[in-house]
Amino acid sequence: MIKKFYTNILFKNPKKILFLVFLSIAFLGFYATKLEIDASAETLLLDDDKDLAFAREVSKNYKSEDILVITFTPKDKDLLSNNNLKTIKDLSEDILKLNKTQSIISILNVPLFQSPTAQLQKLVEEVKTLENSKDINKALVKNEFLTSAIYKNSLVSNDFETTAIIINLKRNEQFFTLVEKRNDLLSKKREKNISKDELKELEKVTLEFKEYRDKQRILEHNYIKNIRVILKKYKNEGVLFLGGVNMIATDIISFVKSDLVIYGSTLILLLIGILWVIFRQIRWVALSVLICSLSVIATSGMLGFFNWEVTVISSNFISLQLIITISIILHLIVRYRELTITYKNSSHSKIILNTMLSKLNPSFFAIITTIAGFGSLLLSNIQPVINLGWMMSTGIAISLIIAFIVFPTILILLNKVLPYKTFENNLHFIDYAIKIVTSKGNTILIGSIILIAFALTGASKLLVENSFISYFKKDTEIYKSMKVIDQKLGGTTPLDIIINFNETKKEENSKKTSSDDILASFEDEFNQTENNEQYWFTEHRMNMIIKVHDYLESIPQVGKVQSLATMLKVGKILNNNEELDSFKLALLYNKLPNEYKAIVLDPYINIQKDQARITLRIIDSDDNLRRDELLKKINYDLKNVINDNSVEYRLSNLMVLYNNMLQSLFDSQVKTLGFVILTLFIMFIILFRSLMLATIAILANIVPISIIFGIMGWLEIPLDIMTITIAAISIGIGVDDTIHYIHRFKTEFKKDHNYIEAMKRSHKTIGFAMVYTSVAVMVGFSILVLSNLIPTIYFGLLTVIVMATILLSAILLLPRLIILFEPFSK
Amino acid sequence: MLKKFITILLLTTSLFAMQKEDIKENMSKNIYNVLEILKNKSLSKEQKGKEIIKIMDTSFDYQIMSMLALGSNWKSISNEQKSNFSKAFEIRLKDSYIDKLELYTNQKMQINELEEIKNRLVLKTLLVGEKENFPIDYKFYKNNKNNQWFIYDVNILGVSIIQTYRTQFEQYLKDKSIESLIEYLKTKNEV
Repeated sequence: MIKKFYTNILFKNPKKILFLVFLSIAFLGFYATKLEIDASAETLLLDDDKDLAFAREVSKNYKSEDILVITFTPKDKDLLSNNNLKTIKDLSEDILKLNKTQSIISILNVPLFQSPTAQLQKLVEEVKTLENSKDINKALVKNEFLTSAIYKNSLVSNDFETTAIIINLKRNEQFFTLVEKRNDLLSKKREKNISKDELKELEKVTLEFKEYRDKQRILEHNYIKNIRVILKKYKNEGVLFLGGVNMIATDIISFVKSDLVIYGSTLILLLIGILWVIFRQIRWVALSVLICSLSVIATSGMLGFFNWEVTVISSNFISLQLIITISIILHLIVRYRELTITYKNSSHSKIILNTMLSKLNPSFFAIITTIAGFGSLLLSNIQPVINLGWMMSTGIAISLIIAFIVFPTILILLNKVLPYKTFENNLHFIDYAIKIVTSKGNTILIGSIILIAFALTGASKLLVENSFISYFKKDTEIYKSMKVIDQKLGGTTPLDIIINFNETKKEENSKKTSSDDILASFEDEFNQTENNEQYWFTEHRMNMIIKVHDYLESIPQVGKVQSLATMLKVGKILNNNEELDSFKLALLYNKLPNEYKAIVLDPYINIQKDQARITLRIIDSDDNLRRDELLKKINYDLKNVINDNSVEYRLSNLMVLYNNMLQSLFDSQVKTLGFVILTLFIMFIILFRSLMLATIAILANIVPISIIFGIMGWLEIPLDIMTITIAAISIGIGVDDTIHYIHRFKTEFKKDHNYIEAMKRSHKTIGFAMVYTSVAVMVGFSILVLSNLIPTIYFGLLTVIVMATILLSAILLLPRLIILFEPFSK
Repeated sequence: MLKKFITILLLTTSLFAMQKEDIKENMSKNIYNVLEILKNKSLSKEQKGKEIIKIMDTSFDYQIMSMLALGSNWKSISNEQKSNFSKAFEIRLKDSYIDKLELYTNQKMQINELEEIKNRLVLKTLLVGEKENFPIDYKFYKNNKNNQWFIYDVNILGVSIIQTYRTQFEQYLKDKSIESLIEYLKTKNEV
């Protein structure tokens, strides 16, 4: 059938076929312009993570706004000098002019309670700030900033050299409404009780959400750009950094974009270089570049068409696709050249047909195994990793189809040329390999055993600790600002403890008591008001909050802790060092102006829900931080700290979500790798029809793959969303060598039934193709070293090492095992 | 005027609870006296407190206040516990009342109408400050045994003293005994 397709259709109408291919790819190319990049924190989280839903609910209940932080370290190190205060004032005014700014909190406008210590009732009347008081004692102000529970270690650094200027962004109500709508429908869909109309609605909302988000993203990107322009204006006053979740997302998107462009273009150039060095003929270079470009355009078009978004993880999809496509083409070229030399007198179309047909089977299986490698990523629990699996599986299939159509079509339009063999003749690597296999068989086996030992010991040391800061290079703004905020201004990764007191009584009908009961006549009156907000501040609740707050503050890896207890502590100082009793708190609650309620109460308590929130930041760059252990410890300790069965508590926010992701890494690694090995084994059995051969082929791949775990374990490179994909991807790509080699070996073995001779002949033919493709793949992956993201760099380097090991294994261990076990029937 | 005033002063000391029609007048006198004490710079906070309690003491019904503060828990405790609790609570009330005096900063006092709500009376007063006013409401109930009116609760700025304690005690008694609450009040009183 395939043969008929080539001879009757393709070879007869090559131009028409090409035209059709170009037309359909042009159509996809139009969708390629719709390719989107998503770098929101959401891409790192599990869609159906219950903790994520909870975190969203918390954010809604406590109106957490998105913020950006500017850290300012003035040149003269004196935060309170008139000049520096003026800088902060001017800077704030500039930023307030931008339309996304809600408000700005800085040392200028925070309320000062202890400069000098005012009496409580005075505070209710007027609140002092640096901005509104002319004759304020700066020594007292400095002392307050450095000692007050509210400001120390967050608004100013402990060395009083750095201060934070916090920009509150306008809350995006529409965004949250859309997210909620979408998530409600999604969860219905997941529980399989969604109606047709709702499904339509879901599609509509998802689309709306995307459009809205993209619009917002552009606005946000420009907003951050404008802030950076403003910061430049003041760069002579000291060191200024911009930090905050939104800025990180924006920067990552630009990293991903530049990565896409850099990989794509550099890789094409490199591949052109390699192809030229090996083949010295323009046609092979041009043909390869054409097929690679068509494949990438087609795949990008598919992604655009299906609305799959490129994330940090899939930012290297273009390079992956180029690498795999080039390896398909190289095998075809090498085979074609071999046939033109062997059958000098055959017609061109016959040679082409033979090339295609002889490579169809191994190439198809090679691609299927690679798809299995990427497909295994679907089993991970991490959304962007799953997406990468989908993207690549689609992309590789596209590459295979395009290569097998475009390659012969173009060649049929050209005339036959004899190849230059200069490169092959000067490449002695294959001869060395043959020597080693024939005379140093045991060394190969011992080497493999050492490698496995190295891998196993390394694997036992594998870590999943990922400090977010270490994703970025040290010279990036993200890194610098995170470092300052993390180490000087109270930590970065937010963690919330939500306490449910469960005390508020539901409206219950007060029992009818006999009217002569004097108590009963009062009960109604008091029952009516007992749930009034002002009476919420009971000693029981306050003590609980303070206890939890103090416990959290005692943990070394915890930076700034903020809760109602922060205010209670300041209140105590203002109250002649006596605890504020419930009555005073109720008074304060009634008298506190709303603008201050928004700052000191709203983020920390929710009276309607009878809930308190203690929010803290973890010092992410602390090397001793063990995230999972820390969260488990907090969870366990809180039970004893709270010591009240009716009170419930739950941990939330980014720290929990991030840790969930990290914890699923091990699991995902085991699942994906297990799936790949199992699938490949089954495929080998189908392909080689021999259990023995399948076992040999699997062994020849497992041994080199294991080197990753050895290296990562011993060098303490943590597993992360990038590195867990290496094993599956490498095995998927690397297995091609095994398939091509065994396929060839079978053919050669039939000629003389001599293992050694068959090995030599296989090495001399397919061996070259294997070396070329592996080198191309290695060069391709080494491009990733140019990335802005550290995980991508690790990914590139490790993959290069694995690919080199797989090549060595295919050319040394695999033939040695075949010779040792003699799996072919004579 | 001054004569009248002195006679009233003499009278107030021997005054116990009040009849409805005397409430406003008597309370005005009491409050006036309290303010005089508050303004007196020569007295310490504690001394002021003692003096003030002397003036106001008889208008309060501590027994009822204790009952109300315990709410439905009151019925379930023994008579001995009731009296122990009331004693401790009375001291607690006075202490915290004195503690609140520092909220006073030279304001003037304005006595408004006596309002009748159901079968209770509320005397609305206002501390008039420079920037804002603080409403203070004295709530009276009629003791049917002697037909006198007593204060059973005071609302300051809309916060009821008794309600504040009620919520606290209710939470306290959820998992602790009345005995430990009495002990807790006693230790608080000693501080």
